[in-house]
Amino acid sequence: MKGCDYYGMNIQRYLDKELIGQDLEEFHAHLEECPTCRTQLEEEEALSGLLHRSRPLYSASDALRRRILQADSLPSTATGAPVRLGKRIAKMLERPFQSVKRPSWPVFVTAILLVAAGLLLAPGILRQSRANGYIETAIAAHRSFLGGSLPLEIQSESPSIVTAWFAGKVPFTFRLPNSAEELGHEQTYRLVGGRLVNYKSGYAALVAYQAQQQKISLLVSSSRSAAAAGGEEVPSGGIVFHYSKRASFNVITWSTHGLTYALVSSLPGSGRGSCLVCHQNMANGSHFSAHQ
Amino acid sequence: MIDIEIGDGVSGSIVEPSKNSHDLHVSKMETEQVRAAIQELPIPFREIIPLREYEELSYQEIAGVLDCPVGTVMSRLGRARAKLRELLSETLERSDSPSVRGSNEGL
Repeated sequence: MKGCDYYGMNIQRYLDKELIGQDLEEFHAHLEECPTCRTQLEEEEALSGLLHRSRPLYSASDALRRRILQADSLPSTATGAPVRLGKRIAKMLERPFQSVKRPSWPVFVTAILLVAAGLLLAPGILRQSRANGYIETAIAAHRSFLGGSLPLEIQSESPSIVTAWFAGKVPFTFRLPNSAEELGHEQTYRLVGGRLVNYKSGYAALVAYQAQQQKISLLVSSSRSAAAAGGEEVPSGGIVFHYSKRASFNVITWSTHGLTYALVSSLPGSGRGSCLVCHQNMANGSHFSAHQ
Repeated sequence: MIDIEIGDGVSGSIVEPSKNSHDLHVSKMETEQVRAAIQELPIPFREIIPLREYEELSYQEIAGVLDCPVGTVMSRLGRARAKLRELLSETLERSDSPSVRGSNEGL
């Protein structure tokens, strides 16, 4: 006969309506004769009730919203989540005080067609989609940082301290980009600190800089999960920089040493011009490398 | 016409004329304590609670959103709830008292 240890695990599944058929019947029968499991169930229900009562003031974090919205915009197989689900969650998160109706069959069929279309996309387009997703994440993180909802978790002007802080916290070997001008020219920007942000199923590193009274964000992730593509392409020092203007922000993405970087700022100038604000010597052929 | 429906839990908390000022104060305190407790959770736990408790997604759907196995969803949920029970033990004890429990009737 199954004991309380077995049914104890099923209390959560029962509460979450994941227990069905024979399992559900057995669980009901066990509850009838087991005061211990009944008490445990009541405790779980009390917590669940408390959480539900707190719902109005709760809102999903910016990072979670970004990931769900991103899952919706990525090709259907990228996250394993059906398109229908992504749309549904995105809608719920955008309007937390409204109930959401399930999509009708025509919407569902359209979603299926979109999935099929997604499967037919060429690898280059998939790469562009990954790149766009990364840029959107970087812009969303930058906005949240500017708005104060993403406070820095490490504040330091020291590249080595910031690098050490990220070590072991992100699923890749974190390296700050290193402009060649740091070796001999005066910097017009300074490192401020960094923090972790959610990206796909893990974390990316958000690094903050300050230049000309402006905040600059740098999102760093593994090239396995993020791509740099599209926009105005400028090769420099063996790296191809991709410049683009998105939602009033200047965005520069590049990949090197297995990492993909996305720099977001509101610095004056467009494309390569915005880089020259801080890296005047780029005009002379200098280039970026990465800390080894 | 704008089609807006307010969820039961929301309408119950925002528009509840039967609540007196003390009950409203207790309710607001509870909400703040829950919000603070969720913020204290590690990120993987913090994000899974609203998906299950507020958006009421199935384990399979949560696994799709978070890109992880269903088994991970179950274990994360279990650990997140255990941690929340610990953080909210005092709130839960208070809400179990007759005066507070009475204030939640109708939710």
